[in-house]
Amino acid sequence: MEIRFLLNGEAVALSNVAPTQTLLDWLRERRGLTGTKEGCNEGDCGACTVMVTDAAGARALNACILFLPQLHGRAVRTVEGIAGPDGQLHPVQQAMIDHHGSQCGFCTPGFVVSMAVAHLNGERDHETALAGNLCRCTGYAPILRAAEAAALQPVPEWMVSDAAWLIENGTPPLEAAPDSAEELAALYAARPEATLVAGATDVGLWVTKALRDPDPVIFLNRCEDLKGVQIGEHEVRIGAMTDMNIFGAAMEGLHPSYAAMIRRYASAQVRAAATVGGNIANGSPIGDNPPALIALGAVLHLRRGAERRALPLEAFFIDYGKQDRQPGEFVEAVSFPRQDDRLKCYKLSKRFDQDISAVCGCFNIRVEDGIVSSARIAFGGMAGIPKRAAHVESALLGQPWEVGTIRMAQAGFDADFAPMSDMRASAAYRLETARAMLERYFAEDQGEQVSVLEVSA
Amino acid sequence: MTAGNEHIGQAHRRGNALRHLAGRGRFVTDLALPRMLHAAFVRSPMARGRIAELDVSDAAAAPGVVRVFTAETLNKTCAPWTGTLEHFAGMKSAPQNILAEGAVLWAGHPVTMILAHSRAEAEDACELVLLDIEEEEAVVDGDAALLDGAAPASEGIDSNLCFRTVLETPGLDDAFASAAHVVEESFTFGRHTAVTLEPRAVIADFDPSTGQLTVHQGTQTPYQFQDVYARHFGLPESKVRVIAPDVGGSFGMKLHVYNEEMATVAASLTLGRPVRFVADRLESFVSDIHARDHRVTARMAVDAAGTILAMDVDDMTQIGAFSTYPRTSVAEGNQVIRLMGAPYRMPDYRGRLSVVFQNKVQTSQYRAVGHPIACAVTEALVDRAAEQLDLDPFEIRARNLVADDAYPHVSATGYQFEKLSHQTSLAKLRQLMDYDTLRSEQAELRRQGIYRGIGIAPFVEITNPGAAFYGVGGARISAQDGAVVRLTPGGDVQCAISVTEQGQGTETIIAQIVADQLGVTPDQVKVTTGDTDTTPSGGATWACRGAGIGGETALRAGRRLQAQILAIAGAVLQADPATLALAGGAVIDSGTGRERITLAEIGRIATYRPDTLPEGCDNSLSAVQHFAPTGYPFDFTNGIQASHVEVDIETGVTRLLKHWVVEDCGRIINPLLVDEQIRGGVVQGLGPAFFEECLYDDMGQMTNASLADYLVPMAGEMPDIEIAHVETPTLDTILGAKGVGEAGTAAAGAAAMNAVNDALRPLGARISQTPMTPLRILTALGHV
Repeated sequence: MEIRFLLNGEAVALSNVAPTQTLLDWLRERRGLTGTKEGCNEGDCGACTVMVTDAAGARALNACILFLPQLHGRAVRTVEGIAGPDGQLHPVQQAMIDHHGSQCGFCTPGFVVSMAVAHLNGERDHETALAGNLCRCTGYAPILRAAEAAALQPVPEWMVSDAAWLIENGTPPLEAAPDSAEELAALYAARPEATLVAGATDVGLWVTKALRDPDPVIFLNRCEDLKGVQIGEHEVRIGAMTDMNIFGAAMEGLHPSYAAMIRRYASAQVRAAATVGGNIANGSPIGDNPPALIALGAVLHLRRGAERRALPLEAFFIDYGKQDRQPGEFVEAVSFPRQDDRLKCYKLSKRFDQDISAVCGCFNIRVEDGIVSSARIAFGGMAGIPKRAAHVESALLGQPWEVGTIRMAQAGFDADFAPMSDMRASAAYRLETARAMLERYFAEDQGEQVSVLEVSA
Repeated sequence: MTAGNEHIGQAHRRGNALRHLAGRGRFVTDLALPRMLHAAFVRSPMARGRIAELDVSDAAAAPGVVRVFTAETLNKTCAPWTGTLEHFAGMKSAPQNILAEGAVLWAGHPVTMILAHSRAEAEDACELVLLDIEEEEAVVDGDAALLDGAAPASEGIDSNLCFRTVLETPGLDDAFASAAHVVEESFTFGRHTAVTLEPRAVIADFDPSTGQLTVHQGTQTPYQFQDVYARHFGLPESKVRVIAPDVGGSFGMKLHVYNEEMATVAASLTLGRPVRFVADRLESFVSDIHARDHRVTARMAVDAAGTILAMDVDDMTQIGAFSTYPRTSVAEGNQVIRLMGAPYRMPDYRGRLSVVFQNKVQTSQYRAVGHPIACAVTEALVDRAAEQLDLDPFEIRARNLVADDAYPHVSATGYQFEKLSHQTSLAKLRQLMDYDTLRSEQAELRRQGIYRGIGIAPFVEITNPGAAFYGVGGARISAQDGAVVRLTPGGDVQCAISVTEQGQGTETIIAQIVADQLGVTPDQVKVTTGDTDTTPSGGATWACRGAGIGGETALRAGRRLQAQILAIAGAVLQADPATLALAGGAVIDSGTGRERITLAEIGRIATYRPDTLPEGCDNSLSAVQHFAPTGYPFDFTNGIQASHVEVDIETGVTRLLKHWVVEDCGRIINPLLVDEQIRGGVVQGLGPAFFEECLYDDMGQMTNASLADYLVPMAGEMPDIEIAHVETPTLDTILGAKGVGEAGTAAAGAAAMNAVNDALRPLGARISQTPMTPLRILTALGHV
């Protein structure tokens, strides 16, 4: 496959690119750009962070789980491209020197790129922007101080030049990367055995960790019409290729608790790659979107060729590792009704940031005249699939919204779930905290202050 | 003499930061050599078993594969190694060699080495190796390992007890018999590991035409590895060069001998071409040393006034199938039992240590060896005693910490303290954290159902070790360090020194120290480290010796060169050297401060016109200095930490609100670097207190060997860390500096555990296991 992209301001054209060649390996082994480091090869440490710019703007991504074809028509900056062409330091580099943000130096390039992207995009929540970068030497405080110190410095002009180049230089089509849902539908129907790559945060691990070699591969990142959130009068529709950062921003105004949970969903780098559709289609029992979307009453929109169908999201998850998706069929969108915000998402994990949920519980309970008029409660981490708490819901429905009802409904969790014990949590812990989440939802609804940030995501 | 100490004590920026920020670091993982091969290993998937069949023929024929080694073909090139030392009387460990022979002893034990033109090809060929292992029962639990009839965890040992020792003062039983109160607790400290961002990396490059072996290795201790490779592969020491360039974190983990590094050297020696091994993250988890893994039962006797009378401690620590080489896996437990109660006047003590083999990854020295365990146990018991006596945690410590004017002092475990500042530090901490306000805020919030806790933990840290550490036990691990300081013909200064840099700022402080001896600025001093061919031999970096021993070595070398320069200047200027000094890059008149001759001119004359100097005038412009501490066996430092936490009693999640450290590392050479060491150390102490743990199942399989599942602290959950200092220089050296690298790690977990227990106290719950996960906290609360 032949691809073109911009690397540190220079045009690069590559032919015979293997579809699953990672950017990290190519940079280090072929291009001699060893500033970008391999720390884990699974998107958890951020040492390989690079800046990728396209029409949607600049984002930080993990190069270890980014395939070269995903870069076609985009621009990449590595740590070697963060200083100016004449060697002028970027403000974050100067701040890192001034604030002693680098000790052994191995994580430093990844931090510098993450910081430069946040600086470019005007992001001031440094802890969130850097939650995907791991440092073992500094204890983080000097790095956070450096990010803060650089925040008000102007963006250097070389950092915005990539976007201009992209506009000037169009991109030729790439067969394995269709440009629209229509093209995708045709291609996938013709090659139903293909592996779809959305953000590659999952498929990337199949390649780097499971050493699989998926072939053929269809890249979805150029399907612009699958991206974006449409907020209509009656419905919110999320294109399958909407990345988690964009989706999170859209949820800020509609369902702030969901938006807060998304800030803890992996890291900035992973959220910039991961898509809503990918998170659903892979059917992980611990994915954080399905419980929230199910609680919101979401409908999944699937497409095969010209055929379309829609089903309640919870019906898509049949069993562990098994979804209601036919060969050649792909997720086009997910939608949910516009509604007053009653949603609370509780993501419980051992570590606050970038940790896979032990339990993720999402509650959407409506009360009219003191009586529960509707209840949608869904959990991740409690079963082999994302699952509704049907017994709890029915125990609440039609009952007075009061402590006694909560106590009674809590017993329903035992009927709804038989969670497993694994290294993230025990079955007893999962059930206990699920019960506590319902209690907390009620308490918060009564206006009580809740003490610890970690839980009310 | 020089005009003054202008740079020691100043917050100089580190010189290597710009390189790293521009992506120009030079790590072993970035290095590629001509004709280089890449290594991958087939590892045992089981914790214990016997190799029934091993067939590598398909792998050998795979694309890109150059050679496949098994124990049969590789181990004979290497003399086996045994991780025992004489001063640990009676300790035992089976000899090890590169690849598993017959028995596999942990999940991850390397069985076959494959060399190919790329790592990917080597990994693909690993899949083609037919390895059939007859599984045997693994020794997983340390207590079970000690039962009669337990299967041995490795070959050639008659029991799983590696080492046992007891320290006891004669008055112990009387102390407990007379005590008004005895508090007792059992503790479990989980296994964790270093997780350096750069994994272990080595390139061995043997040139048969010259007989020269060059090893590029991410390590703290190049001289130790020069010695190891020379002895175990039968090479002259002069033909072994070890280069440690930029090292992406080490924390003690990269100074042990590993199978993979030995294999890489052996393969290069056999094939006569460069061989590279870089661990991937999974390999790091199943082959890097792990740390801690202790079960401790301890009790403390106090009198009615709250005076600590004695401690009685039993520590069982589990170390894997072998004791590591060459430092052993006993040093950690040995320090655990010797550091118990160290800050206190406590007169009586008994400490028992059992070091136990099992079929897991080896454990060994990691940042703050033994300190966090001793500190957590001691301070938890002190808090328990305070509770019994209804004393405030500050008050009971004020009553028991050794008084600042009572030194020298010898602890009940035999440690000799030159001079520490516990009482000053305690008072300073109370003020720094505004303790009384925090307590009233805590009481107020408890009424609202919010559970906050405050915990404090004084500590001592072992630094500047002399030969008593390893040398007396027969280990070829240098207790001295060496420096060569030179003036170039152009008047610049260079210092080649044996202490090494892994991000601590070693090169920065050495430049500051040398600069002050020669009247130049630190940026005019080029410091070279980490190469056995170009720097003098020494201990390098471990147990906090870079500043205290390395710094003193540099200081003394600088002074020697200073004297030589002044002698030359005296001859040139026809002046008494005693009237001259160095400042501003020149020789000055020490009375008037007037410049007499520049260093560049001294360099020029000594190099190009030595004929103008008097007969016998030393014109080498070089000074060599080696230094080993000769006074106290160690220079102890001290300090105290405090932790403020909030525990969510419904979910068991703890939020770290704030952390404070008061630290006394003697003379401070660079306050910024000292604070960085403390801050980073605290986070490495809090990680295992709350998140980090190597989890194993009943079969001896590690179940969370990835960074998605093994949790290290991230930016968001770490508290603000406030630091203050007390400065009590050691009088053993001119410089007066002690170490500081382990202070943060030593007591952070102890303070945090006390804080969590303070939060849980009104609920009648206690936790004494780390990491303090949400599940364990809910279990302590009786909710699950």
